[in-house]
Amino acid sequence: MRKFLQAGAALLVLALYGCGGTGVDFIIVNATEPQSLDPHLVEGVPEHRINMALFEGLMANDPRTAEPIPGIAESYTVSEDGTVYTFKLRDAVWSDGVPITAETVVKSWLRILNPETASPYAWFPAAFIKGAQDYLDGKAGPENVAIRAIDAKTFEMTLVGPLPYVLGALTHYAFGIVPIHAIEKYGKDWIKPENFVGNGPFVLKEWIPQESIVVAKNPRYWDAANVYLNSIKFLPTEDENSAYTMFIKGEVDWITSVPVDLIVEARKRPDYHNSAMLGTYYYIFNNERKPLKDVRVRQALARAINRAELTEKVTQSGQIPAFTMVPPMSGYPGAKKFTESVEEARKLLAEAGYPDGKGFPKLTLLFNTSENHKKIAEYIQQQWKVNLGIEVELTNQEWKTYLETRDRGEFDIARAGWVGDYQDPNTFLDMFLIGGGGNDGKYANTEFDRRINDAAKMRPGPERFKVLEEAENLFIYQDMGVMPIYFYAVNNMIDTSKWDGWYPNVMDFHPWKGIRRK
Amino acid sequence: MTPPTQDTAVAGKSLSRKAIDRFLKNKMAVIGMVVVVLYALVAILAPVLPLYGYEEQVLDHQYLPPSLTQTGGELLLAKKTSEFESLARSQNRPLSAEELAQLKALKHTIANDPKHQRRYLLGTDYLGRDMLSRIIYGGQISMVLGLVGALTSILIGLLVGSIAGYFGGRLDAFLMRSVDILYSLPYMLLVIIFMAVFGKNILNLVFALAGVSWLTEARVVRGLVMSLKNSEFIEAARSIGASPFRILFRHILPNALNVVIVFTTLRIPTFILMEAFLSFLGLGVSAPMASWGSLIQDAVGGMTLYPWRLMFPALAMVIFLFSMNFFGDGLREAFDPHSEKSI
Repeated sequence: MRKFLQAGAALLVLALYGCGGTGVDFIIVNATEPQSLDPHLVEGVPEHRINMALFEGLMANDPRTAEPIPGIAESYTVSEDGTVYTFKLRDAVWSDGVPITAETVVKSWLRILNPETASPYAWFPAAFIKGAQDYLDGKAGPENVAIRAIDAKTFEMTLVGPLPYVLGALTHYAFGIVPIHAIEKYGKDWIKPENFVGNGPFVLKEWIPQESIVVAKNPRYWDAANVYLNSIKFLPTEDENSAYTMFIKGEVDWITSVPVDLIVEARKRPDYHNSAMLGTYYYIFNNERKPLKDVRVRQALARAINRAELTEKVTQSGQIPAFTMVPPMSGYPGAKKFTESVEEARKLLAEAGYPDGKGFPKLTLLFNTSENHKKIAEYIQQQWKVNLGIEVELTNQEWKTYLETRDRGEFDIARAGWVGDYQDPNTFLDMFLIGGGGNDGKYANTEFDRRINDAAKMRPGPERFKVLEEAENLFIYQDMGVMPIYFYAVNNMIDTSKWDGWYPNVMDFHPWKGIRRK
Repeated sequence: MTPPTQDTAVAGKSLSRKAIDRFLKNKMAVIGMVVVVLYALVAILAPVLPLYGYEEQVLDHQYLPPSLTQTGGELLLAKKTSEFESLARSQNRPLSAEELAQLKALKHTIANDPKHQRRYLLGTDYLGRDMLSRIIYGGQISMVLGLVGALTSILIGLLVGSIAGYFGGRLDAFLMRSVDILYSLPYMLLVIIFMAVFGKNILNLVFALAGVSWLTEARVVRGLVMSLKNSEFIEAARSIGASPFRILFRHILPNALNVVIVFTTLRIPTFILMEAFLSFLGLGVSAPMASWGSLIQDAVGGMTLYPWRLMFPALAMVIFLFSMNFFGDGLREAFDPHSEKSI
């Protein structure tokens, strides 16, 4: 009897909740107003969350592991040498009923690669597909890009090498499929709610800039039976403190970060989810400037700080101390870890000509303006002062200026973070090639380059990982090209006793499809 | 029984004596002055006062509340104990053996480690640094910044204003129109551009602030000079052949000094506030140095959990600004020849 009553009461509450209030099933604080809703014109994480509701690529993500699972593609085959992929598309349609064909995929990918689109993420597909880089650079026409529609439902692509992580990359919005017919009709305005056409589990219903974005269930989605929410509201609230308060009061269902000062409190709650993430927080040494040119100085700086204390007491959100560049990854054995030792750091510094830090020039440490980066920088600054007798000066710059300064290499030491684009060690290593886009510290070792390039031509498996491991050993253990600090962890707050279908995972990808009220 | 005649009482007082008397009669102004002097003393004596280093981190002592009686170690133990207890209460169980053992071990380390004997009168921040020390050293920075900024801006204002006022004509028109143009530009933007071009350090910050805030001073000084330049004693100086610069700097400016001093005192709080605002935007002093503004900025995030981190720096700043304003206002009234009413 009692049980029944409870169930009845719960039902009543549910019904009341469902009718009253905003009329939206699920509210998420999405941290910022999106750059755009066009998957080809965005580069951030908040945009990715919206994108996951509105669009689907050839591959989608498994909600538990974030591993690639078939999306618009039903199945695929790979050629013997691992470079040619053939996808069989399923019978999916756009939200306006127009069928999605292999031709749509070809046109979509050519759109992002088109230099005129000026997509911030065009380099990503260009790094995979044969001929794409030349088209992006304007050296060749679109006909040289190795993608084609064999028939209406068969799509084929040729890669620059047997890149085993390509399927994971295909879930990324840079490989997004867009409604070419709608874009041709409405131009830039196709992402407005009245014109919007998508192929994801939800369609855009309302968009009030700086206030909210509401999406509603897409009845034409191929897997609509497994979409349980009727609508989702994305709030662009940037202030973490007010987002946290809203969550505690029950006004929103999911927040994607927790203010650092409140983590102690949040950790005691059952709806707090902390999980490791595929990302590394590190400091870049300017390898071309004295005294950081000297590997002994870089080693000394990296080994003189206490990462366990930093992550436990300063950052406090479950980060893992990092002694390698690549975070723990399934299948990858991991490179040799360096050890922290103040003794040896002092010895190394003395060998480099600066006993007790005497005569060491005052270096500057650059970071982008943020509470969290400042705390970490202050901690490390003090550790270097106490342990090595070295003074560093902290400077902070606003995000865009900071990125430019880093790009131009005008720094001694700079804070950086990298979140993997796919689950393979390569995403953390190939940017440090000589002349590489992310190699702002100008790390240069031809041996390292040779191994990375070799690995790109190898089939997946332990041998390839062995070569990448050797490369990473050279990069960190031997050369200390950058200074790893910790592997990221993410804080989400969502009541999983109320919501089903939401799971923590290393990519922090949470598909909307399976989420439902328990 | 003859009453003192009025003549003798008035005759004995010089102008400045009168001003001082007027000032001393103004209670708020005197209190303001005493507080300002106290602040200045503490800031100057900070290195010899028994304070912890403002950059010294004791990570075990993060976020400790202010306490007059307990040491850092005791507070830490109390905090840990209540943490464990509330956890146990929420799970409806007594403290587990493991938790008790942890507390015991902590007690032992606290008793034996001298660092746990530290005392934090105003609590600690996110890296276990003493708030009292940070507020005092932060005050040093804020006050020096206010003073240097006000002096620099007065100096520029004095120069531009007196030249414009004395020479008049085209030069005056040119200088004043430049001031008008600078007035119309958003000053925060100018400061931010200045800092971006010349680099971000505290000296540049002061000059950037001074560089955009001498405009009012220049106008005030110009008005003063214009009213003085036609008075008889200037005529006299001119008639015996004194050079314009001699007249300006030996005869006119000393007479304008009262106003300038008063104006400077009233400008100091403005500069402190501007620095606080810039610090709040992350453009102020660079860590681990602090100013009142940056301390407040650091504290905003955890305001609900650790109110002392916000309260004390804000209080220190507000008291100083109040005192400075009362002090400046008292000075102004005292030196104003038209406010004879009070005597």
